[in-house]
Amino acid sequence: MKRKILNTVSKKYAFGYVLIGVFLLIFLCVSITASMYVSVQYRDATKELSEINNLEDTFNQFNNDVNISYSFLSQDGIGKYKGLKNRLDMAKGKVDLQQKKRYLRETADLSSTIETYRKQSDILINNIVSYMKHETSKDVNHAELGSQYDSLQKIYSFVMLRFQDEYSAKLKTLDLVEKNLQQLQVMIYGLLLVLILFIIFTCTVYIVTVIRGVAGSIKVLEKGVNSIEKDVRSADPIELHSSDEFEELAGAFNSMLKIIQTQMQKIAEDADIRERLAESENDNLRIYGALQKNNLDFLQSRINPHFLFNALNMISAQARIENAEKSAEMMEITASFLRYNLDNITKNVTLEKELDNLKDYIAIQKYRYGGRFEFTFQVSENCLKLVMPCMVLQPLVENSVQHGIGMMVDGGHVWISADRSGDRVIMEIRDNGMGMTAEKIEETYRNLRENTSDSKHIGIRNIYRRLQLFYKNDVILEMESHDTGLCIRMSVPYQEKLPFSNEQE
Amino acid sequence: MKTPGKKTWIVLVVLIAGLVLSGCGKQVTAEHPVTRVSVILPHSDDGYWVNIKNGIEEKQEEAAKYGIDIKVFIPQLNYNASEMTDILKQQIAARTDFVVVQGNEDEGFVQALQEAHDQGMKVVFMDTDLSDFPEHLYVGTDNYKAGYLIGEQMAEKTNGKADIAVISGSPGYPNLEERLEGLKDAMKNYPGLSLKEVLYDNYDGLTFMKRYESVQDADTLVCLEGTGAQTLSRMFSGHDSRYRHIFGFDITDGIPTDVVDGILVQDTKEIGNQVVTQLEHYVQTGKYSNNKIYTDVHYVTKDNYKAGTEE
Repeated sequence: MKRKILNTVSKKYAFGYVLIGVFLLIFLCVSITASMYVSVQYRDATKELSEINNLEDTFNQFNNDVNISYSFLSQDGIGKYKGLKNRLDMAKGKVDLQQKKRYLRETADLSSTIETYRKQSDILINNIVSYMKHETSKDVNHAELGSQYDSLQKIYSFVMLRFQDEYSAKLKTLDLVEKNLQQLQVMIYGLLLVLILFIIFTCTVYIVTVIRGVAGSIKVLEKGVNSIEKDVRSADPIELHSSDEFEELAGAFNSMLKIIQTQMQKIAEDADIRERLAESENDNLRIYGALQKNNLDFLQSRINPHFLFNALNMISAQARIENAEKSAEMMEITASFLRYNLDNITKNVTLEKELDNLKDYIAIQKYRYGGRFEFTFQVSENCLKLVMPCMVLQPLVENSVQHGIGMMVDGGHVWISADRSGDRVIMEIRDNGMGMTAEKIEETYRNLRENTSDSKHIGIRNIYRRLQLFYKNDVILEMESHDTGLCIRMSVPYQEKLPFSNEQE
Repeated sequence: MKTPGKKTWIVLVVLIAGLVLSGCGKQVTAEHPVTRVSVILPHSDDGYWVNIKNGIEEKQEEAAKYGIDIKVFIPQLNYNASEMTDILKQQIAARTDFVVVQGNEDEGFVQALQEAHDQGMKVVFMDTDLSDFPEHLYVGTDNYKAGYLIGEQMAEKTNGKADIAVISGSPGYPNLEERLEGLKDAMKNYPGLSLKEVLYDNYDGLTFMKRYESVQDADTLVCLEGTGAQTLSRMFSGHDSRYRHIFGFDITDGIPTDVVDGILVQDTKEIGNQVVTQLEHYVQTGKYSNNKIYTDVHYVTKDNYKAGTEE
């Protein structure tokens, strides 16, 4: 591509100044040349007149010498005549030279008439000289000399007439020259005016063009920047071909715009992807939550009929051996227990409510077993607000009663305790029953870890799974069996309300 | 911004050059005519000789192309032989190449012409020829024929019966003598025509009127040169009963007013034109196309006045 010379704004301005300088130089040259031309013309015209005047003076002197020579037969006059011939020829030569510059009929006539005079005057002077040499001789005719002299003076008068004509013509020419020069001067002034107007016009047009070019470039850039402010993604690149820094700036701007648009597109694509991912995650969470709820519901639904069957069997058995009052009391307690069970089985409860429900259960068990078993509660006040799944403690106590102290005729004791340990709550169900062997405990642990579908340990496994789901696996369940009894200890984080849940009561 | 292109620069440079060069003015070029011509007119009238002068000046520019420089001299006094001789001598002293003069038999004038001829100057006669002069050119009317023609017209108008008086210019002008000869020869064919007297007005209106009024026994007047018809056309606004018929030369102003009956008009401008044409011919070829160049004449009356004067 052809490289442009005026490729910067400063060069364009500099060129403008150079242009003005060149024009001013031309203006100056034209002015000086015109002025010199007019001066030369005036000088030439006046010089010609001066030369004619010089010729006339010389010629008059020449004729005067002829007169002296003739009238007084003066040797001095003849000498002067001869001496003046060269001067006359020179003066005439200068006038003749004028003809080469500007031909004039009057000058030609003058020159020729002087020449005629010169020839005649030479003849006369020669005859005078002869006459003076041979004064007594009859060869020289005095009358003839007189006639020659008269004829010469006639020619002299013609020469004078020619001088008059010459002056008239020269003055006419001078007048013409003056008029021409005046016209020329007017033309020159006109030309200079036109030139200066042309210079002003050209320079103004150039400077205005440059300024408009710069302003136009700025406007185009401004428009480009404004289009970015509105919407960078739909902004078009700046079209600018000013061959200067603005074009480079526009190029840089366009590159920047392209980068921004590319990055914005990537950001938009990433945001879209993230949005879709978030939606997908939300869906997953919803599915996961629903699944957890289903699991919980399922686990709890599996507990209810199990206990209900036991309770109903017990009421049935008790009704057979006791009268109706106790049955009624038992029925009330059982109803309270069932109500709790039915109302809260799929909900979360506080430890306090869970303990209340456990006390209902123990009351039912006391009807069943009479005074054979003791139940002791050791619960710290600061644990009562613990939120936890429903029906956690009752199955464990039931388990202690059934498998621990159920075989004992009396002395069976179940201890229920809850206490804070830092930010955790330790709940303990301990009995003094027959306990469990280490192998049994290990088997139960394995059963809990592997989450098998084995029908054994179904109660404790359900509790453990529910606690794990509820506390997001932050559950420690330990079983200890010593010489007598079994201790099941659960450690859960203390929390008064559930995260992401409205089911707090 | 778009930078100025190549075409813009060329236009700019041409404009500047044009502006600069246009201010230089016309260059004076020296011309060197090789042939100087001096025309000596006898009279600065308002018709005849002015027309000749115009005819010469009309072709002056053309002549300049052939290096011919023509200068016209007019003496202070009309038809003054002495003054014309003096002017002629000035031209001899100035050694011009050609002298163009009206033929005149004045002794001093002829002598000066001879001197000019002897010095190698070429002599051209216009209007009036000196047929005996050596090596010359004549441009003008065939005066004998002109006199004969006006005689014929006069005879026709007077039905061949008239007493005739002739007023001519000055004695010694061969053109007028030739016209008179032609007139006389024409009259010979008509016995009823009688020439009573020949008078001269010296080309002067006052003298003409003296002669006009002095004629006693003629009823028809013939003016052999322009002064007569010109003077009469200014003196009278209608036919003057002093003469039955008046005929003249050159000046037609008296025809519409019936002051004169007929005028023989010479093509004077053509005389001036032909003089220059022959000079050009000589400069180019060293000789004239013919030593006698006769120009047209036509007779104008009231019937053909418009057409005749337009020519």
